[in-house]
Amino acid sequence: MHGEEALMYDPNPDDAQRSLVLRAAAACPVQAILVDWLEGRNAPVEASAP
Amino acid sequence: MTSADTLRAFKRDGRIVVVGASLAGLRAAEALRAEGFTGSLTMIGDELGEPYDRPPLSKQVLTGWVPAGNTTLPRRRVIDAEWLLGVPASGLDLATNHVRLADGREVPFDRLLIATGVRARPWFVESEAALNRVFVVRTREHAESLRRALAAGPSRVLIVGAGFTGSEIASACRARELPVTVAELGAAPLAGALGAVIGEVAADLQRTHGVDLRCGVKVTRLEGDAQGRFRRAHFDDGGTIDAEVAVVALGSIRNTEWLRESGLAAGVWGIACDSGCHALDINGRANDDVFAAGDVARCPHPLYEYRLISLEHWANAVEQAEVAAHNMVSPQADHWPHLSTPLFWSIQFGVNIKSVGVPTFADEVVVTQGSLDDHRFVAAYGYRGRVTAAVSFDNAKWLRHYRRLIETAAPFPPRCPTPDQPTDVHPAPVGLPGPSLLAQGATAVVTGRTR
Repeated sequence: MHGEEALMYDPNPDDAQRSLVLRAAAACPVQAILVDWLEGRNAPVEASAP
Repeated sequence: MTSADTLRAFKRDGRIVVVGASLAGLRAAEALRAEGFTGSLTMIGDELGEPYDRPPLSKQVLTGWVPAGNTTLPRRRVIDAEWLLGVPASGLDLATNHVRLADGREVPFDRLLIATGVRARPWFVESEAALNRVFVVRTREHAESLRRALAAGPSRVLIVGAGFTGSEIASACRARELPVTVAELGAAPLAGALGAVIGEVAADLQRTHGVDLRCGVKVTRLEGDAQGRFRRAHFDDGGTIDAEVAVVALGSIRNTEWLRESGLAAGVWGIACDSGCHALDINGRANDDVFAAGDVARCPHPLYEYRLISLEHWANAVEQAEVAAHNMVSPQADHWPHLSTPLFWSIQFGVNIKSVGVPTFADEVVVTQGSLDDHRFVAAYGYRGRVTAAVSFDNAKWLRHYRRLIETAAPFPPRCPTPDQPTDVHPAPVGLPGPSLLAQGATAVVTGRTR
């Protein structure tokens, strides 16, 4: 996260930072940090492109 | 069969098609599943790849901090959809409830959500727009190609248009210590969205950070060299500037052309809707089966005299998508209206800018906290004596207070909520440009006004 209000952040941080991210998400007073919980998110979507 | 039975059957095995596979489309799809829709869900999108987030594209992606490919949107649940990606929708037949794709395929639906958003307004001369090193920023690919061009260390970057996107790009260039010229037709950066008074602060911010800012000028021509690479721009005052990268940031165009023959009230300002996100037809009647959400929708808002407002705001896309999804699978009596107060943010030159309400719906502005000179303040906007919006520069913690003022139509000018009352609290004319300029760079557009 970057700056006082953390408007700018790395949306896909290294897995090594996962526990820090989860802690930040739990601590956020307005619960504004959305943590992707899906396994294999980076697998291709069920695309049926031409 | 009662209407409750019909709805239950639809929720179990109906067909929902979402046109537009970006933030609003994805969030709506997730909300549909969360609401218990188990029928078939089809996502149609003109871009290939998973839905991604756009705010980073003009910020941390350009500075090189975050790779463009790392902006994929987080998923909150499995949506189990069929994805038809890489082909835009080209037509809508409401007699037979089919979406037509550009490759000729026809996709049937029972209910439809339109979330086709906007695209970057291209440079107005096609041959000049096609020059090498002339960019727009809307998609992940755009941001990645511009990032590469900036990393090559151009002698100068020219940015045409100083709305939020143009200003954020200028900020990213300065973070890379690149020489930057910003050319803006209006009186000041951000003036189309926030008015000239606050625009002057944005101008000061740019100049303090070394931007060569030129306001009140029009770029008339982008000139290329023999290799077809951008080299020089011409201004309407006869001047020129040499640069190696040009970024065209002249706002956006709503993706509604494909709806031209559909019978929906869709046009350059977006798709007219009721506050329940039902699309209106050309006779102004709400369609029970067709919904719209995100940048492409224009909805009436009771805080703003029920005028139709389209918002190119991240939070608006999310909220509208959830309202639309809920209404798509709920009985009439349970429908939600989309009435949340607009919220917007930007970060540029190290300053967090946030707004609540609609700053373009104002005739006066007053600084209520902090000071313009310090670039740290809250300004309230008023329309005919009531508070309609507020903007903060590095002072967002008070915005909730101003949101309450807006939602209760509190009198303008409002009192300062803290002891740090500014000494000079005289309301000034807001200094919004006329409607012809408003179309460029404003992220909230109030249409149908006669003021």
